[in-house]
Parts: sequence; structure tokens; C-alpha cells
Amino acid sequence: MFGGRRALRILWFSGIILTITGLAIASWSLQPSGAGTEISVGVSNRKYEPGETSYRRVLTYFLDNTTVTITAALDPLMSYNFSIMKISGNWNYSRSGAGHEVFSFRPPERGVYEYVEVLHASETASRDQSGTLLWTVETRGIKQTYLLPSVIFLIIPGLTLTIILIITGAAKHVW
Amino acid sequence: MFGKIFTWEFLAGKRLYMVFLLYFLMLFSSGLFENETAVVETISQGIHGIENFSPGNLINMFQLPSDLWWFSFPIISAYCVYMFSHEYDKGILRTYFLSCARKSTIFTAKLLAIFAGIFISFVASLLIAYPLADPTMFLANPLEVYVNLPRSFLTYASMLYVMIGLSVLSAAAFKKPLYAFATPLAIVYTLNTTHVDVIADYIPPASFQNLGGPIGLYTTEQFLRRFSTVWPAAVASTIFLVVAYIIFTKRDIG
Repeated sequence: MFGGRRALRILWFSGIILTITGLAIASWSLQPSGAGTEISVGVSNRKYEPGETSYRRVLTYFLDNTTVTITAALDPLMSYNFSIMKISGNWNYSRSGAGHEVFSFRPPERGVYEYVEVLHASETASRDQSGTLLWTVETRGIKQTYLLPSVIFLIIPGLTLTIILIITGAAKHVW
Repeated sequence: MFGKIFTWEFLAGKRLYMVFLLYFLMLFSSGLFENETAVVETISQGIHGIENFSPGNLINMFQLPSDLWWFSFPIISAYCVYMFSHEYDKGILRTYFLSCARKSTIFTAKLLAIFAGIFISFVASLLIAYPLADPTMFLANPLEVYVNLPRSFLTYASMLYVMIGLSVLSAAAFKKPLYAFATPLAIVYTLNTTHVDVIADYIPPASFQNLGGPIGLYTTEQFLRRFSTVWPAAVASTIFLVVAYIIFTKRDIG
């Protein structure tokens, strides 16, 4: 249907697709990052009978730049185990302790993480124990994440192809 | 012959640039990722609860269907006018096609070309946007990342279908391209800004505002419940398409 101009047409549209894909992805860096500080209560502040264990497995999605601070507000005879790992990644962090403690960690990159919280009330306790893990998460996207790769791999090759076709005069046959 | 007409309708002239414009705007609006949390398993007081969330569900693009509607409706309307307008259609090529194909074949080819143009651009943009949210997970297991895609696809496919009905009817009914383009825009945007009770709930994009927010964490039941509000608009669109088909096959090409 396109005769001898078929190859030219494919080149022309490849250049345009590369350029507009690059422009669209690069424009993400101009948009708001979409997340900020959030505070959440990890485990409900209920009573635990002596010897009782509570287990929670949670999936969470963090953006590029994240700091998580966890405050363990537990009765002295309650202990916690906490571990977090990047899904399909090679990063993990774990921590265990008892009573009142604060710790923080920084996940290395954007992505989906899975964490496990285990709270345990000691068998030796004489009465019901109470406690909770309080979360403070600050997560933000780095606006420049997609800027450089999209310029280098998409916009520059695409524009080069398009401009070459315009300069050589080939574009007016396929425009 | 059908293939030849379809190829011509899809690729000829400047129509492909409208598909590129739609693709750019879809990809442009897909850049905002939200952080999200979901409890998947709890064991407490002897009760074991498991929720059916996969890691890919957590990757949420914050793309409001109503926002998508506002910018894509004028483009889709213009695209339909290019396809179905009486003025653009009465050229020598239409006469040539009519000499060897029936009007119903031409109508089907045109409609399929519109669907292809819209859906290719929009599936391509989603396929690009999702893996960029978590490149590590994408390299390990692409299927986990694309787990959100069917629900997103259904939402937007229904929305685009609703847009196409009114636009095609208008393009087939009005002789002047400007009227064909402006009438559906005026109807939809007026009805949406006047907030006529009862009707406004069923006129897009008002009916799609119920689908608003990130899509990833909806369970199928929640999704279907929200999705059910869209059916009246989809039925209306089907009626519009049938009327457009009757107009198209009965009219003179002049």
C-alpha cells in the first residue's frame, strides 16, 4: 500500500513514537511527587494475655526517597520482632527488642516491600499486657528519576531520526 | 477487501497523528505513583486472616478516570469526525470502496479502526507506565507487575466505548464537521456542569467519578460494584452506535 516509501514511513513514525514517549515520561519529573509524611498505627492498642502472640504480614509500596521511623510503645514484658524486605530485591532489615524503643531505616529504592511484625507477651507476666508499633513514614518520589534516561534513550535518538528525515527532504514524502 | 479498507482507514492521512496525541496524553497522565499499604496476613487470638493482594496490586497509578475523560473526549470526538464525517467521506476513494464493498463493511472497518487507534495507544501507555513504578520487580516477574492491568483496562475501555457512541452518532448525523465535533462536547460538558440531578449520575464523566482514585487495591467485588454504575451509559452508547449505523447505511454519499 505504501510502495517504496514503506521503509521511510516506518523510520518517520519510529522517530515520532520515540520522541513523544520520551517527552511524556520526561514530563513526569514536572508533576508533583504525590506523597508526603504519613503517620499510621501499626498494631491496635489492645490487651495481650500472657503468652499471646500477634502476627501481621503487610505489603507496602514506597517511592524513591523514604525514611521510616518506628516507635515501639510496649509494656516491659512485651517483645517485638520486625523484619522488612524488598520484593524481588536483595535488601532486608530486621530488628527485635522489648519495651519502649525507637528505630528507623531507609529503604534503598522505590518498589514493593513486605514486612512482618510479631508482638509477643511474656508468659511470666502476671496481668494482660498492651502495646503498639507506631509508624512514621516519609516517602517522596525523586522528580528527576525518569528525566535523564528518557532524554538519553528516547528523546535524543527520536529527534535525531526525525530531524535527519526532515533535513534530507524524505519527510515530506511520508508526512 | 475488508483488510484493505481497514488499513486505509487506520493509516491514511493524518489520522495516525491523533492516535499519537492520545498516546502522549495517556502516558503523560500516568506518571503519578502513590504509596500504598495492605495487610495481607494476620494471626491474632487464634484467628488467621489472609487477604488476596499480590505485590503488583500495590503499584498504584493515581489516574482519575474523570480527568482522563476531560482531555481524551475532544480528541476521540475529532477522530470520529475524521472517520465518519459526510464532508470528508464523499471523496473519490469512498466511491471506489463503495463500488467493491457494502456500506456495512465500510462502517465496521471504520468503527474497528477507531477502536484499534484508541486501544493500542492506551494499552501501550499502560504497559510502559506500570513497570517503571518498580523496575526491580518487573525484571524478576513481569506478570506480578501487570496484575493491575485487566481492571484498569476494563475501566478505561468502558469509558472510551461510551465516548465513541455519542461521537460516532454526531459525526454520522451532521454534515458539517464543525457541528459534528462541537455537538457531543457541548452536550456532555453542559450536562456535567449543570448537575441535573438523576441524569447527571448517568452522564459521563459523572458516572465514572465513582471509579476515581487508584485502581490497584480494589478487590474484584468492589470493582464490579463500582463498575455497575457505568452500565446505563454503556447501553446508551450502544443505542447511539446502532442509530449511527442506520444513518450511515441509508444516507446518500452525494
